[in-house]
Amino acid sequence: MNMRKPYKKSYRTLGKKGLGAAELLEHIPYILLTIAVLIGIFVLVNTHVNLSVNIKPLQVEVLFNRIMYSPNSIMYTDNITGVVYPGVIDFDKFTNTTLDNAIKYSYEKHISAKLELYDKEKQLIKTAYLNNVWYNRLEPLASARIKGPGSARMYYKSLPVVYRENNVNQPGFLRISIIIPT
Amino acid sequence: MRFWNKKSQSGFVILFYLLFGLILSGLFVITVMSRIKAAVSDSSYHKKFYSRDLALLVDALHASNGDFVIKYDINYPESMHLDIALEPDRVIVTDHSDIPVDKRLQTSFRFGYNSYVSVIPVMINRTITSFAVVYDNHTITFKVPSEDVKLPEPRKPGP
Repeated sequence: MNMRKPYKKSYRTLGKKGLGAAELLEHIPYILLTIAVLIGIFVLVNTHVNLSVNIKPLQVEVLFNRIMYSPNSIMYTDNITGVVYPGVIDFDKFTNTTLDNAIKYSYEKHISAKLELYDKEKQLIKTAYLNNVWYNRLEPLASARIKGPGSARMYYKSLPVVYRENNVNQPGFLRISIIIPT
Repeated sequence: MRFWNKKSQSGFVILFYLLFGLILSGLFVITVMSRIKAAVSDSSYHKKFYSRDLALLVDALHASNGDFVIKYDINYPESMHLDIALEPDRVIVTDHSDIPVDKRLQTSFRFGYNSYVSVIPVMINRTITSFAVVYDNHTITFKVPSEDVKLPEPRKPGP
């Protein structure tokens, strides 16, 4: 009952009913605050209960590693020992056909990539595609960063490599653009 | 009313506020708990997770230049019964049922296959808690531990 005392003076002019109503009214901020805190906690719980499984960055890494380390991909492989030389690109194998044979998906609208090989002067010397058709279809959407169903997201990787042309190793750069449909 | 004087009015307001708080807290606890319970017991998350994880594992094994045996542990609630199927182009996870896999509601994820590595289809039953993902002589499959198939022990931390 002590809590009424500070308000006693200001409520002096109110009647019995008015006094009750005023006390109810003075609790409204507390009620609103309680509701706000509970909503805040609910939002926090909802944020941390995450049921989505986003593996796109992992898909990019797996594809990148398949291109770099796979024995039947674009990397130079010793015919006798079968040893793969990651980072050494076989210039003759740097084609769409090699990539499409090395990594196939039963559903066309899956992952796609463009590989651009540059020489040491950073001049483009050769381009190869994985899933060429869908790369060209989705590139405008991915480049424009249009979101939503039917769109795609593009990831880039760039690294120094060696390309082997006519049994001669040349320094160069490889730029990989990977598109993953949403 | 006999008790409806100034003091009881103030008591009523406090009681109203307390009741309101209790009801609101009760509703809040029920809502949050049901949300968490739904998240924990929902098998769709586990199906999505295991199909993607295993498909990416098989995908990565295609880049292998040697043989591998990987022990894979399955860890989902006991009340959940999932079957895992390895197909030549994808990994399928379904709720356990007696009907054939192709007629069940499937959660699948595709991996990149090629003609240099063959994938042997296999079905991992709901009762299995760990199995081996084997890459042997350009062949990938899942193997259930038996007398012939021993799962690798985790490597002890070295000095």
